[in-house]
Amino acid sequence: MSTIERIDERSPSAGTASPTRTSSAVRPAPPALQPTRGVAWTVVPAVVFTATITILMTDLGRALSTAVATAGFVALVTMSSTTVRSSTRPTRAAIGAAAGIIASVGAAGVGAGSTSAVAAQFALVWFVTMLVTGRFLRFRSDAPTDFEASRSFQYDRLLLPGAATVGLSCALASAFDGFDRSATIIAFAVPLALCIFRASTGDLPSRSSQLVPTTRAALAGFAGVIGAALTLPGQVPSSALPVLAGIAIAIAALIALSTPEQIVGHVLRPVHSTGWLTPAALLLVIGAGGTGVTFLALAIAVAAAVASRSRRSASLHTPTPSAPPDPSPSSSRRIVAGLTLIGFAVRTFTHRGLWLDETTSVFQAKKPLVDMVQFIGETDNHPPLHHIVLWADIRLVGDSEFALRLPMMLMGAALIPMVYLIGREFFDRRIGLYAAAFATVAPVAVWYGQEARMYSQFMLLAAISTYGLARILKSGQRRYWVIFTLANVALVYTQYFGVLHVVATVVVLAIEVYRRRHTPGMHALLRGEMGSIVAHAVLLAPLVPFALAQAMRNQDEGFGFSTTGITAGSDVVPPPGLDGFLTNLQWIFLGYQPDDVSIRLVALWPIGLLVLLLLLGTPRRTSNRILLTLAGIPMLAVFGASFIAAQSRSLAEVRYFAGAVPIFLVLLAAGVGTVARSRRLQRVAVGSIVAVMSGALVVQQFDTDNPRLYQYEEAVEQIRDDARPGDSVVFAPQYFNYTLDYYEPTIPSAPLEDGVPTAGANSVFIIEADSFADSDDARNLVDAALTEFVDQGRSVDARYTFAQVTVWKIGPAA
Amino acid sequence: MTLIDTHRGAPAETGVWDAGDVPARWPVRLAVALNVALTVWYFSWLIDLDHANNLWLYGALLVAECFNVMQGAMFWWTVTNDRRHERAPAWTGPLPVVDVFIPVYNEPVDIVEPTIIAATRLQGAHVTVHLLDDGKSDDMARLARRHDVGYIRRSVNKGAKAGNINNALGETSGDFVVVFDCDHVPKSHFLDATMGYFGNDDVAFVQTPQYYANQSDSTIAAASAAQQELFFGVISRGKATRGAMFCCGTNVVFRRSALESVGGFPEDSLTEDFALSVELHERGWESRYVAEVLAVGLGPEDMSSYVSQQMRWAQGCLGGIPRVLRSKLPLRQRLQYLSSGTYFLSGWTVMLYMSLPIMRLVFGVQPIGDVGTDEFLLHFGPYFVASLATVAIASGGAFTFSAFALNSATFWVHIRSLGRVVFRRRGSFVVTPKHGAAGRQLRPIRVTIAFAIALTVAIVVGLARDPSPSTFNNVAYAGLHLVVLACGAWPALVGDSLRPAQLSSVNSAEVAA
Repeated sequence: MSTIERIDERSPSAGTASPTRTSSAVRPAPPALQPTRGVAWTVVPAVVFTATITILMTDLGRALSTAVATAGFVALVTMSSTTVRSSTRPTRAAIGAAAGIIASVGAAGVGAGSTSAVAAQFALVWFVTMLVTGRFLRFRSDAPTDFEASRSFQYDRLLLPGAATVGLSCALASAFDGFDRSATIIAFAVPLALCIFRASTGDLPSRSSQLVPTTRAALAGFAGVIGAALTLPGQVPSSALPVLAGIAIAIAALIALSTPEQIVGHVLRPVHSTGWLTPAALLLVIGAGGTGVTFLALAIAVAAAVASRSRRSASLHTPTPSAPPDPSPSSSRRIVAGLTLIGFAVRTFTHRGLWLDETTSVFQAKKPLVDMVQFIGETDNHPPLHHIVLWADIRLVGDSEFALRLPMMLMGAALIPMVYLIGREFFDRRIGLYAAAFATVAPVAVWYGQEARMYSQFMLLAAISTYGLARILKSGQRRYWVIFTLANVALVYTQYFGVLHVVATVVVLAIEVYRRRHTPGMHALLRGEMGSIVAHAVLLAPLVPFALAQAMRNQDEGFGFSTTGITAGSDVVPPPGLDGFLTNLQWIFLGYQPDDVSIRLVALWPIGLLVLLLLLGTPRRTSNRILLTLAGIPMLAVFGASFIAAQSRSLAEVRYFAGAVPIFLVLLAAGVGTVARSRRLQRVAVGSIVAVMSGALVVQQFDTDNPRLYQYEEAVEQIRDDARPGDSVVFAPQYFNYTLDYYEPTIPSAPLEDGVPTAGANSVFIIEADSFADSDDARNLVDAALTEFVDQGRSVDARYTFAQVTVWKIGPAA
Repeated sequence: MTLIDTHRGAPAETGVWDAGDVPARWPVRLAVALNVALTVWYFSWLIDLDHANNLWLYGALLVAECFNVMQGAMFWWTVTNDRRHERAPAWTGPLPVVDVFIPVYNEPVDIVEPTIIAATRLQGAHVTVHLLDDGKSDDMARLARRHDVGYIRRSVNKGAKAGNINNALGETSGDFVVVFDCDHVPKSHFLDATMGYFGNDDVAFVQTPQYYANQSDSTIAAASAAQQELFFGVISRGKATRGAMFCCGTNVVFRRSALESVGGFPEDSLTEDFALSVELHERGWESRYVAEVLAVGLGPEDMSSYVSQQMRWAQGCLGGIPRVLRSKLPLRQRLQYLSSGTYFLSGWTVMLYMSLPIMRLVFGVQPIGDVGTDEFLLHFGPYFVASLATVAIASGGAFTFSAFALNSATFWVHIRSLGRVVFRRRGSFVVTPKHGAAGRQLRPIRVTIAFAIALTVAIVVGLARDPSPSTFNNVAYAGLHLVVLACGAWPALVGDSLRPAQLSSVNSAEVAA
């Protein structure tokens, strides 16, 4: 064949569509993704009920927006749970389940405070209840029950990760055939009972410590599932679901176990008072036991997968079985569309305010276009394309937080189909779908899809370039050369580090030219590559003087291109080295986690050895090599540069090789396809990974210990609430002025570098923003200011602490 | 335009083990060179008492790592000389007279019959097939009559398989002797591909690979086959190049005069082939290896069969080490024999590696301490990756995770074998069962299960006691071992075996081919 379906062919028949067509002809049509009859019974009262709660509990404006958003979530939840209940196809059911959970989680992003908590918990509990009752008990209206349950969890937002895990576990358990309802009920009932029991004690501990028992409760639930499954005759051999889904719980447990001091406190306190047989101690034992069981389950699951693979792959007398048949193009398109919508929904729900880099970009983008470009050239060290996008966005959509982030949200959502296309081109549609599912909830992709900076654009353009490259290697058509070249050029105009991706693509093309040196196609490929390089040079030429000017200015200021200058978060960037490398790998797949969680996740590196062992004997594939080259060169280059220039530790950061993120997700999907050969095992593995990523996403988004979270908005809001006319603000470091300008331009403010206000009759607020490259200087300035204020006879009336920012309220002079 | 991958792996049944899948030499040598450098890098860091936490564990770890490196070094030395073998020169002169021995001991007739049929169809020599029946079975006698082949039955079974063959040597007179296990079905051109080497009068025997045809239907057979592929692929080619290929008991052609020069097969060894090879090489005879699948057999299909086979090999090879040490073999040959013999000590290292996370999680002791992840991983990681990569590259992808896991899950075989050798408890020659048993087999994996439980308990205890990053690291190690053990033991746990009907069809298919 002149044009093959995939770059790699596992078997002669693997890429053909005919088997799928044949089977789909005799297979009953799957149910559509839409509510079925009777759902209105639950949707309408739920929406009304939710809206009522929100109106009663908050001010009208926020309540209305919350109600509308929650209603949307409820609808999504309804549709997904309906799909789960009525689906005969595990994939559809799993996607429905995932959508439900994501929607539930997303509900928590609407607004702030107890409203969102109630809304999210309502949606979540409602989802689970509806799933169970709808599937097994055939009850229809359950809103009052939900309300009671959700009221128990009120103000306890961090119950969400645990509860989400429970919900997803239940959903997965229900979704897959071969799994008995009693197991599902146990999965649901045990953790829920534990959660309610825990909440009903009235002792509502801090958010983080709540995470521990809740997740352990979820874990206990899974232990229940496994126990139930083991007691069901004939179930275990036919379904590896409980054991594989346990992987998700293992990671959740690991995250939960990340607060040792809280665990110790949690255990010791009841031990001193009432002895060991307390709920907390019990949960600790269950949690640790559950983790052990989960590891055992993981071992069994992998064993099942490997056994199946090895037996089949060694076949001599029958042709080596091809991978499970691809889904049809039309169903793939539908699934990808659904995932894209979900991905967009996930990216739209964020409660975090803008941080320094974003407000800096906003400040720049509010200037006239030419002035902006000139200003960036003189003061920044980034190329201008993202700012131009932001410039247009502000004028077309506005400058609200949502509006500012909308372009990146859209690009983040667009990344999902692009990842699918990469997976499809390098492997097959199935792998593409798996990768797209990962991209939907991949925490780091979501994080940057919610940030008004250039990294989501970086990922998307790198993905487009990679897709173009795949098509070039397969078809060599000119239009793909154009797509590839334009994507690469736009990438460099977006972020200078995009050059590394471009270099990687050139390397790949060069290797392919060499590999094909004896084939007729070599000359065309070589010509195309040469032409593309020339086009790159021509199109990038205008950027050269711009970049050189920035480089020279940075050099003059002592930065050069070895650092990123004013960069927040530098102290949360690990030093270059293996720790940093592993941390970045963790970020790629599990996003930004609290430090103690990250440390524990990185400590799990021996699992990487296991992965290497699992790959023994698997066929070497050109696709893997190409993708590894594309992902590896930028990553290693960044680390190499960072390692060589030891002072530039802030370079060793995933965002500087963000283009590798979608490629890593495709490789992960391909890995699933390689290790697990049966369709069921693959789906379970994908479901587990999505569950793990979702859990990590929830923690990333909601845990205030996330070192990337900057609560500037909350700090400014606090000042706004406290300030009286005539009060003023001083801050350090000076770059905070962009943030103040955005959130509160009316209060008089000045950087501490300009000096401390003299004694007056009004209060002064000091803001110290942490985690800046020059945070020590900022701290010194603040300390000096506090001393001076005391010398002036003033007192510190209040001190407010938020994530990465502290506010002092200095009273008037006595 | 395509980018279709080169798929490496198991050779096709009709394939040649050194034609399609011999990796180019430079990547192997590059990998080995890298491996050596990284081994030095790792050991230069490891051998430092400042890194020791618990001296006893540290010492044990050091011994285990040194053993592994020695095994690794032998492997690297072997594979760097891997090269394609020329086709055997054609046999010149009148057709040789060849006796084909098929020793049997109570195996099912349906297993033996295809081998006899195929043996009678061998081309390129005056072939006389003899069924050497130590089982004294009338069915076998009838089978021999039915196919008009010789039937030799001893009155006293002495010396197991070796004694059986020696007895037959006394009753036959062909210039050459071919030995096939009763489940190894030769291809008709077996002699064409091997006899030419005997043009050199110094050649005592020509060995050909063992290939398992039943790997598609049994997980253990598949894993076992992958282990065989590593040995009969890159290792045997390398050994042959070093002049140290030893006889493997089946699919092999002997020069009668060579056998007679050493008094036939040694009857006091469980691995008579290994001992015989030492004798022959010591007397200056040479061996050859034809890396082409010329006979298709059946591998162990269940855990009991596999363990039985491994136990016999381990005990025989470990028991043969003193003989190798005493021998007057050239150093290169002696090292090759020692490498093969000491391989069966590797189960000790597996046990140690599995024990270390247990010790840390339960008792809080560990071999290495006060070392950050960064530092340890920086030294160990590259060494580990390079070692795996070297095996993968050199074997052309033949060695699989399943093979590794099966080997790890039966680590106790090596430990028990050494015990039996040290305490001179001579085992009996147990013929590897030819039919897999139905149902789960917990007995051969009870030690494995015990270790799996210990690892699980260690994880629980460790996490409940101290959920620190260091604990997590050891939990991950324990999880790794747990997965490997589970994968290796899985077929025995779930009762994965070949059905007799399938088995018969396998051999029938071979005959038909």
